[in-house]
Formats: sequence, C-alpha cells, structure tokens
Amino acid sequence: MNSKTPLMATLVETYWQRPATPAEHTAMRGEVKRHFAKIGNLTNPRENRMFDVDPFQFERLMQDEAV
Amino acid sequence: MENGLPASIKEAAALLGTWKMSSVELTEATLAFARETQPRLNAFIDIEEEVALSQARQSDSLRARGARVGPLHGIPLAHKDMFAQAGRICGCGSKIRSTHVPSRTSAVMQRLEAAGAVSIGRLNMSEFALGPTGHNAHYGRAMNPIAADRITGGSSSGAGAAVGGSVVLGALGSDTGGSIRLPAACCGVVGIKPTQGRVNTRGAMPLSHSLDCIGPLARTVEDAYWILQAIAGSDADHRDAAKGEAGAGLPAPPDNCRAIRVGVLQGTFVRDLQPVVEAALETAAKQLARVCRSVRSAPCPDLSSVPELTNVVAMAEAATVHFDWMRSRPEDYGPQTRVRLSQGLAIPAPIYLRARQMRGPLLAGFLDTAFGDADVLIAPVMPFLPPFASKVDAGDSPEMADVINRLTNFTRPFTFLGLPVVTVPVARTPEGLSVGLQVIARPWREDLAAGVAAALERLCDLPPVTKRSLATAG
Repeated sequence: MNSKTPLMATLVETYWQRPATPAEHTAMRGEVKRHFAKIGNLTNPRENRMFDVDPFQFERLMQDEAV
Repeated sequence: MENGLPASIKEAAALLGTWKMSSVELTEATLAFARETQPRLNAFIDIEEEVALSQARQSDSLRARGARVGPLHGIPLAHKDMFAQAGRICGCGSKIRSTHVPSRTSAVMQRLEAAGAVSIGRLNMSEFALGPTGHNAHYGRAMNPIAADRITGGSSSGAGAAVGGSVVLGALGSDTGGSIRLPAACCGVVGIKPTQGRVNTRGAMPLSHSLDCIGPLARTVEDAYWILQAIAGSDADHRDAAKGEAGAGLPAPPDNCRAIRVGVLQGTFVRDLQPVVEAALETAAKQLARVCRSVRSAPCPDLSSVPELTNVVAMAEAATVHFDWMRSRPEDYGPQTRVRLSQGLAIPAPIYLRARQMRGPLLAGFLDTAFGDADVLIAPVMPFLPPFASKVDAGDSPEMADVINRLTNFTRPFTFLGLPVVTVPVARTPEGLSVGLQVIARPWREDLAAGVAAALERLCDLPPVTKRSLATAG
C-alpha cells in the first residue's frame, strides 16, 4: 500500500460524512498493516485453512466444557 | 481490622452480622474516606452519598427485621461508571454519555442490589473502556495508590485505585482485553475475569459483545469470589443465557490444592521478563509446589497472532457500537478513543469474521496443549512493573498501538480464548510496586483458579498495599 492510497479517507468520508484526521488516517493504515501480518497472511494460502473450520466451534467447545 | 475499619468484606460482614457496626456507620466512614482521598486518587467520577446512605439504611432495616441476608449485605462498594442503574447517571467515562440516565438497571447491579450491597458511586475509567493505561481525556487519570507517577492500568482504572487505595473493599470492573487484570496487578489487588458468558452483560456498556466480561476487584481472593458468586448467572432475556446456564452453579473454591496440577505457561509468557517479574514467577511456582499435586512447565501453542485477533474483534465491534457518534460527534471523543474507534472502519468483514472463526481452533489447541498436563496455568499479568504514566501516555500518536500491545500481550490471549483468570499479587518491590500473576483455568473452572490464587495469597502473605484509616476518614 503506498502513501497515496485514498481508501481510508474514502471510507471515513463515505460512512462518517467527514474527512479523516491525520491521526485517524495513520491509525487506520497501521491497523490494516497489522491485521494483514497477523491474520490475513497467517496460513499458506494454498491450504485455505478456514474452508474447513466450523464457525461455531468456539461456542460448541465452551458448551462442552460446561458439562 | 485496620484502624477501626474492616480490612475485608469478610470482616465487614462479620461486624455487620453481629451489630458491632451498622451499614450506615460503615457507609458513612467509607464515604468520608472517598471524599478525602478523591483529590489524591481521582478514583471517582461521582460519589453518590444520598443514594448510598439510603441503601445502607434499608440494609440495616432489613437486617433488624431478621431477614436472611448474604455476605455482601450492607457492604459499601463502588463500580466502574458503565453499569446501568435506573434513574442514576451512567456515563461510561465519557463526555458523550455524561448525562445519560438509564431507565432500567443492568443485570449485575440488580444482582448486587438483591444481595443487599451498597453502591457509593461511579468509578473513573478509560473513556468507553478503551485503554489499558487508565488515561482519560475528560476526567483525568485515576492515580495509582502505590506510586502516583505509575499507571493504575485500565480500563477499570478507578476500581484499581479505589480498591488498592482501600477506599472500598470491592468493585465491579469489566475486561475486554485486560481491563480488570491490569488495574488489579498495577494497584496490588485481586481481580477476576470470569469465563466468557459467566456473567450477564445486559445493561452494561457494550464495548465488544464477543469479548466483554464483567468481574470484581477486591482486596482478597475470597472477597472477589463472593462478589463473583453474587453476579454470576444469566437472565432469561439475555443472549448469554444458553452459555450462562451451561456454566451456571459457581462452586466454592477447593479448601486445599493437593489435587491440582499447576502448569507454568511457557513460550512468550516466560520470555523477556523484567528480572523482578521473572523472580516472582519462579518463587510463586516453588511456593505452589509445596501445596499442589504438581508444578510443571506447560507448553504454550503459538499465540503470536492472538493479540491482534483480539484487537480486530474488539475494534470492529466497538466501531459498530460507536458508528453513529463517530459521524455526528467525533470531536466529543478523547483523541485516543476517537483514533482507536476509527481503526474499526479499516477492518474488512472477512478479516473480522476470520478472527472470530479462528477462536475455535485456537481454543481447542490451547486446551489440548497447555492444559494437557495441568488443571490451572500461571503466567505474569505483564512482563514488567507498572509503567510510568508519562511514558505510556501515547494519545493518538503512531506509537499508540505499540503501547497498547506491550501492555496487553499477556492478557489478551485469555480474553480471546474465553478462559477464566484470577489475578493475584505475588511480590512487592522495595519501593512497594506490585507484581501480579494470572491463574488461568479451563472454561467455567473459576473455582480452581480461585483455589490456587488463594493458596498463593496465603503463601506470599503480602500486606495490603495501603491501609484503611478511620482517623483520616474523620
């Protein structure tokens, strides 16, 4: 992502009907970089690991643990 | 007893139960101490004297009529400014909600009222519970009662200051990434983050509905557990009902730990610790080895992504709650709160849902690996001592995310995994700073975590960080 990418500014202007402040802009860009590194880029993309993950596994495990 | 005042809820309950002190007398003394310490601690957003004394009179009256009452009956407590009470302001530590008066009482406050507890005021907090340092742009930060130049931790900053400062014997806080555990550790008191879904969040300020937990801070494990027992459980009209019912019935902690296997959590939780924290962890493990079935190293699966997963879920859900005000009243947020909420708009739906979906596999892996040979785990709350407030006051600067991550790296994982944690002070530096340890259990096993935390409390035998004083309460 280069520094001229207008996506963050566009999101704020579109949804919140105001310009993003410089601090908001910096924080949003930092957020995207962090979650790309830690979440979006977690697994080998060829494995596409999430395809087989039950979205409700957490809730089921918590229920099972209660018994 | 400390200078004529009860040092714990247990002691207070005994005094009230034998009419050696009335609830009105105890509440008056507590209110006086709250007023006196407020300029120094800034623990309260509002001290609510009239309501508190009215509740205390009612409590005494009920007791005098011979009503059967529980251990919290007539005890003055105070709570983070985020639990709705009908007809009383609930401001969430914010400007935006500073005059909001809810029409219905939250589930936890209903339960505390039913238990006869007295509520003496609304405690300071990070604005909308966003912020692990305890800074607040509108009300100023609560002050650490041990060392004023150090943070209280947040977001339940006033709860840490008020309990650590001996103003009240117990308080409710909330924890979405460490907001009970950090203030408890920084202020040298006990905190309990219960299992996700154990305590009904209806009527409490929402930050992140997937991660929010309500729990107590108190001076002793036993006191904290009494409060948790009073607030645990669900209401039929609440979405947590299924989980709450499944986990209903909070048993008493075990009398001893002879059957409990303790794991010292490895991986990132033992790396790069400040020497005083490392020594405290080692000493605690050795102490527990005397009274538990076993104490061994517990392998930790890779949790390196979990702090960010927690952040993504929390910020996406928080931005959802604040979406309209971020459009209509952005200037009414403090700078850091505004910037953090704006981050939520930068989280695409697939990233948020991916983070939610990974909760299951990560919990399964953690239960298999870390709890493979252990019933409870121990880990520090933070890898360092409570930082200087001036060093972590990052505001809305680019350093903000690093500051937040460093403070919450050891607490966010157990939020994300939904596990119960009891935080207990285990060491004190020569200058009085406190080191807190997390005792983590499998879901719904707060009893085991509390049992081991109580053993640590006995073995470490630390004096309270501050003493209560009737003389100063005047």
